[in-house]
Amino acid sequence: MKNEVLVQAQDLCKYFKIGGGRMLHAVEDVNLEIHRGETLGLVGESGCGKSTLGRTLMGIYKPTKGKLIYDGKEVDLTRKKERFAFAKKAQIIFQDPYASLDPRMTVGSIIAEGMEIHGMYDEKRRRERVAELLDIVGLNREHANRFPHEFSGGQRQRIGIARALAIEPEFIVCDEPISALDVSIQAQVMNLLHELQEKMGLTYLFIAHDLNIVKYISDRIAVMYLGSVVELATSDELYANTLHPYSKALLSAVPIPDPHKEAQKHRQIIDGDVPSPINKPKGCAFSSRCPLACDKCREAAPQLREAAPGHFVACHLV
Amino acid sequence: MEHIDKSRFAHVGESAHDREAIARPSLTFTQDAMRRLSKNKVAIVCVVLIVLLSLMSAFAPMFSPFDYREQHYGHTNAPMFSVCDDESSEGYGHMHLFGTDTLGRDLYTRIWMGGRVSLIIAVTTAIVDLIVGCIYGGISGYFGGTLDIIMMRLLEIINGIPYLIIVILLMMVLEPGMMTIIIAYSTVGWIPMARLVRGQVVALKQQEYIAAAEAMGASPARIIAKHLLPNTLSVVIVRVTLAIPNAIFSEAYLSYIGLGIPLPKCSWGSLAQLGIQNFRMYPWQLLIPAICISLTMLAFNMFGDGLRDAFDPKLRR
Amino acid sequence: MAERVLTIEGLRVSFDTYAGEVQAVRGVTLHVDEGEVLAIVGESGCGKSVTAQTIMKLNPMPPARIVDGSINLAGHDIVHASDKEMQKIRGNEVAMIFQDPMTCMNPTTQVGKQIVESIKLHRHLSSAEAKAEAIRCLEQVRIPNPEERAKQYPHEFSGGMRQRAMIAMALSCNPKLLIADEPTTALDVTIQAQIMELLAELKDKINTAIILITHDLGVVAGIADRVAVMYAGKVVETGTTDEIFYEHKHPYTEALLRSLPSTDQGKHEPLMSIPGTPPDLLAPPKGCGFAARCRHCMQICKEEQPPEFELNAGHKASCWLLHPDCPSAEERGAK
Repeated sequence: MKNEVLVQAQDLCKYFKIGGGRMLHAVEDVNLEIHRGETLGLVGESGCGKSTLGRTLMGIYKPTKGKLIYDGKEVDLTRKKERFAFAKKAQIIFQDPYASLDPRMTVGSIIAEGMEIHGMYDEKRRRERVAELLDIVGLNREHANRFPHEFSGGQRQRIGIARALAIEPEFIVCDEPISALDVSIQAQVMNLLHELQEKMGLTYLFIAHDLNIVKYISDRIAVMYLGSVVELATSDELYANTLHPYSKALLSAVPIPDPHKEAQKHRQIIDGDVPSPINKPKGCAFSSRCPLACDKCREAAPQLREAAPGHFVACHLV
Repeated sequence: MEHIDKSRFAHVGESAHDREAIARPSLTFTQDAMRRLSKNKVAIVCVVLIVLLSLMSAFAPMFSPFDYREQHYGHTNAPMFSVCDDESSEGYGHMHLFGTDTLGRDLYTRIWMGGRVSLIIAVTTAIVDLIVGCIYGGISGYFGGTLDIIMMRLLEIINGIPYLIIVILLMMVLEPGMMTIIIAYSTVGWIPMARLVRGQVVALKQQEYIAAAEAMGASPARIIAKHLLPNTLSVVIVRVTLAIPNAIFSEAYLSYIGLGIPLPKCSWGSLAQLGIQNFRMYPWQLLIPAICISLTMLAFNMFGDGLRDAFDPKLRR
Repeated sequence: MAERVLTIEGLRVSFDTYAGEVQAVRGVTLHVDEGEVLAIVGESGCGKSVTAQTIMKLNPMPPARIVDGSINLAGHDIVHASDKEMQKIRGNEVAMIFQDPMTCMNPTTQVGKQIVESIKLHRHLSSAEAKAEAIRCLEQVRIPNPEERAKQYPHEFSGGMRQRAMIAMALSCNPKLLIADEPTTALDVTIQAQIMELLAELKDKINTAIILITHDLGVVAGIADRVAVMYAGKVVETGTTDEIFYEHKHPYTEALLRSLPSTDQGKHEPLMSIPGTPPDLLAPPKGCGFAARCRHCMQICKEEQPPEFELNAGHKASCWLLHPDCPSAEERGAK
């Protein structure tokens, strides 16, 4: 059951038109599989395309090139009916708990909206379900009549989770769901997400930039840089045996909340800034900042290949 | 250190319900705005004024002993507070509060009849503005792209046609009257509202809750009606209250130049037009309708300002 | 013996809002010495930013109000200082860097000019000297090609570089105290690492005291000498970094540290979260602010606010568990 592929991206590309006839290559040639019931972590810094990839995988964006395959069948998002049916299977939890809830609607209506749109249950049963969902996410039932602005960030995020769960999806993209929250609230939301996954057999794509959290919740982790996946492995393997130079730098840059370990850590600081996805360098996207870059790296973009069982890297030097 | 009794150290543990409780009373956005508005004295005075004017327009003619068309040839251009001496009239012995006009008609009754016309025209056109403007702006703003470009260009073309020409053309086709004025004004009056709504919608559709609704599978109609338009409401309502004085003035202007309400029906504008002819000798015949027009416009304008301040989330707290 | 740069005693700051008085800071006592980094950690709403802004009197005085307490910055009495005196102090004795450098720099003025402006305000240098000094500041924060960069505008800088420029501006007048309010929260991890390394280097070179406000305990572990943990407007525990991470005594500190996934955490063990949310400071609880969420909560915790207990020189915590009369867990009836 664990190895059944639920979501598959095949040569997936997503480009955006920006002024002046230029194209922003947000996601470039991504080949990825997400297994049913697993949590795939997606990490990277700003501009790497992880958010765009996540949204393309659940249908908010239509792929510019390549295919999105769900449960063995290709999903054609240009067809309204298919798009509508897909919405019931794949949902998303947003990063910003302050902007992702309509300030004019009560919490109860926000949660019930999905059910209304998909014609699930009758009025009475929907209200019961809203109460159940509020319980599941740890809020009080009376909160259904209140408005989003009366809640704290953590509570709003939980409302967002309740909303995503309402239409009983199988696949949820968590787009940095805890970045905007305080540390102690992050733990609450993480535990909740984990519990829900176990109870309801959900599949998650967990997008974040906090590697400690991603390592904790993910079965496998994909590291992205400038629109491409540069490394993909189980989380233990990625930490034990980091192969790609960017992954190494990323992992070493993460501060550990432990003074003794911090003092001992050899930090690899890479110079320069994260380049913009509009002016991608030719060849390997990381070649401009990589300490090991050679001419081959600057000429040809490396493909993702299996360097060890289950461990994929896109680098010429590995 | 002060000694403390052991009993005070009894274990209690976490209190589940208190943890998630919300202390403050639930205030919707509207309630909060109303509360702020009620503190604005000027706005309250304006509301009272508007209500008074509306009530007077609605009920005063019913209680007046005179009919608005009733002419008293023996008592023309009478000054304010003069008494009716026409025995054949019902109003015999009653006071003409505002005097009479050139044909001896009681100005007080005519003012409030005129008020009805002016206010009805103003409110109706404002509502039509609101509905048409919201729908047009909502669709144009939400869909964007080519549709938006076409709709906006169309809007600009319509806007380019002079309002007066439309009115005159309509007058030729339709009978002059309240309906015609409403139609005439409505053909172009919705344009600023549509622009405003479109601008708001374009900004709002970037918000994540719109993306969330789309991800749910909501249809564009649902998103526009349930998510976008309600969130533009504060801006729209302000615009409506400011559009009303515009409409009143427009109507007054049309009537003034003779394209408005035909006699013997009256509106404040037509009364002003009649009043100007006798301005030198009987100034009140112009002044009173003019004051009514001005007061109403002022009241709506200031109320609109107060509403805008009350709805502005940045001015909260 | 390092000189004490900042002493805050019993600071209370409230905001007068339409709903009533929000007690944002309810009695904070802190100090920072020359050359040391004090990290103030806490979650949103705990009062750490308000405390920092009050040191520079940056919050608008209505609706904010200093209710009580004293702030002594390098000999200046901040609470009673006039606006004029504050203008001289800001930038000169104390400087601040913010979370979002884009909104803190004038987008229509060249970066170099902004630094020069700051220098000319506080130091008596000629224009040419000030310009040279500005370039030297940019160099100090490792911005490549400082002469060219000085002529550029803020939007031409990347996020990390803007933060460096902010640091350069803040340090241009050699302040005794630098307040960094979440300086790396908005930055990518690799850029954050660069900035933290820069701050560590500067700390050694120029001996400025730094107050680092953050919620990221990893950053704290890397650079802070001492830590003050704040909750619901009060400091609940203070100590050296080692003491806070390894010998903490306050339940909130414990809960905070345990809610972070550690590198050797079992994957499917739930994280220790702190259920509930912080109290509304409009109606702060009578007793300890953490009582409703504390698993060690006792009767006295709900009735009275705990005083500060000193565990050793410098390590303080405010918790009734530390009272000498507090019985053991079994005697209390705790699990």
